[in-house]
Amino acid sequence: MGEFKSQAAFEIGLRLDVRGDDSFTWIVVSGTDLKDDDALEGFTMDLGLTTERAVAVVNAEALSAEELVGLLQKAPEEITVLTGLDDRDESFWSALDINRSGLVRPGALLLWLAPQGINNLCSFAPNIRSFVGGSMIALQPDGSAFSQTERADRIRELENHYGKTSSDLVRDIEGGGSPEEPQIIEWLILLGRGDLA
Amino acid sequence: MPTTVETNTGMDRRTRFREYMRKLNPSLPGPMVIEAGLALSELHGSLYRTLAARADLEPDSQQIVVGGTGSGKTTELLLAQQSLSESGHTLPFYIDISVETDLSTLSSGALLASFGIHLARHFRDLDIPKTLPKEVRVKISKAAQKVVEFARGKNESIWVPDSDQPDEVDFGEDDEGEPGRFVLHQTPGKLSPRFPAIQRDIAGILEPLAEFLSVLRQRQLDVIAVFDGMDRLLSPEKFWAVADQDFRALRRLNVAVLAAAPISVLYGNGRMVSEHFDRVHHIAALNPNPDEDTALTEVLIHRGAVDAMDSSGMDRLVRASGGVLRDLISLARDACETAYVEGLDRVTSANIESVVGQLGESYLRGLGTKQLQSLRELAEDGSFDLSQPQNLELLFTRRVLEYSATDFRVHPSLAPLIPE
Repeated sequence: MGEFKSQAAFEIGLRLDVRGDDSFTWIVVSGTDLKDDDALEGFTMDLGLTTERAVAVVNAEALSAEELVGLLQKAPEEITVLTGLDDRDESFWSALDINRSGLVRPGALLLWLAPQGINNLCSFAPNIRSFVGGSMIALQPDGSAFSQTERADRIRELENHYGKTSSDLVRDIEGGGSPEEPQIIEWLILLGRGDLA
Repeated sequence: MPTTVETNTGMDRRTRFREYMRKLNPSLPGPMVIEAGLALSELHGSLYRTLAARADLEPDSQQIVVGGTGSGKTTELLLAQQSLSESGHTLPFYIDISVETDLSTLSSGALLASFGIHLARHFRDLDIPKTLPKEVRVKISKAAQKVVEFARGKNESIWVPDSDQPDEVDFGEDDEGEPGRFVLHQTPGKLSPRFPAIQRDIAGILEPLAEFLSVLRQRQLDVIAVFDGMDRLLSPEKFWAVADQDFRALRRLNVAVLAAAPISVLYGNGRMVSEHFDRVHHIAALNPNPDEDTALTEVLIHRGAVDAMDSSGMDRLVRASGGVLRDLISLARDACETAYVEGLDRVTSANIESVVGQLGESYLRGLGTKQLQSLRELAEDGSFDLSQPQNLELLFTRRVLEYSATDFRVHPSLAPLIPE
């Protein structure tokens, strides 16, 4: 079995940004250590920085499908990451799938799923799967998960690639430059200057 | 002649790509798709006109629209509703029942309840009662109350004599001196998702509904109910458990019905459900060969994809979609998005192959051994036994696409990924 495209949080943020604020979008974010709270926190932080919007997290572990629908419609414009879905059974996914229209909201919905959770979604929720389509992304560890050495190495790599120092980059952006390229945004985040992204 | 769109020059890159995303949004709600002018009304022939014409000419007719997820059923129902509204002598109510109540616990009476709420709301919004004679106004008011109680449930105090109480209870007397007490009795409504399925007296709601309908018919308006969302009740048994009594009741009321139904009603035992309807309209997968049929290419052109990619790219997307409308739009959107994230100005063939692979991967997930074997057999020799439950499931989940009653194929983005 193949893999989904691996992307860092800021790249997923770029996708959400270009899709627009009220895009009714669905994305599955996958990974093997999604129970790691730090991974979730890092992800939502980077997502918020890239999209310049608040990101809510909803744990669906103990919620019925009906309760989840009600909760998501309370703040329908918010970008929301939905966790706690991996151990849900067929009847939950089926109920969620049948009530898919109730889940439709302008704000992006990101389903935080381990591989088995994705299998359950694809098996028991064909209507939701249709909405997600190919928007299933394997979360790549990004700067927030790098060690200091790894971070320094990566920054050096980017400096060599662009032929400028990190100080030059920050000066350019602060002077009015627009960080459109994903690698520039990654560089800024690695420098702790996600505010300029 | 395909519709052309303005070329977006002079816009910054982000704005340009955002415009592509806006037009190529596969999860935009149906009403917004139509309002934005993104729907091609003749994509499925003149299906919506056929639906509307029959509903208009035969006030008690019942038709279902059947097709896989993402085939365009909602769009056809909405276009039919729009066409009926424009006629001036019909009043179509579009009801996505899955928005109005928890569809997974749907029971008899829920469709009627929702229909009744829409009727009552229509009267309220147009302030119709003010125009009616007093006695009719009173009837309508009572009818509205009954509809709301039927739909939402009611609380009432019921006198329970002491003879029905345990010996230690003593709460006073009724007017005739019999001891007893008032007890709050909650009658659940048909649209209350907190309660399990309860058998209700559907006949009891017919008279109030008939009151509303009578007023409208005096104004030369025929009411039509357009129900969406029930196609997600994947099995024909579940669909029929919900629809049977309610649709019979609507026929008695001379209300025409258009409804989305699950594709399972076309096969096996599901055919018995189909036979209850005056007409079953099947939206099959469209022809994914752009050399033979330009319909899907026209969809892409209409939605502005021609600004983002060349014609060979669009051809590739059409083929990879398998003729599933939502998959086509989803692939085009994802291809544009990938180009954007990679810093490109236009979609490349590498972007397209990447998103086709991703879509295929999403179809591959969750497949069991038997299903994979069935897919291999279908891909290799075209055999597909519809009596096998796992094969019906492949159809419902769109891993297998139906082009006709005898033409079934593995979804083209999935086919290359099936392990040998």
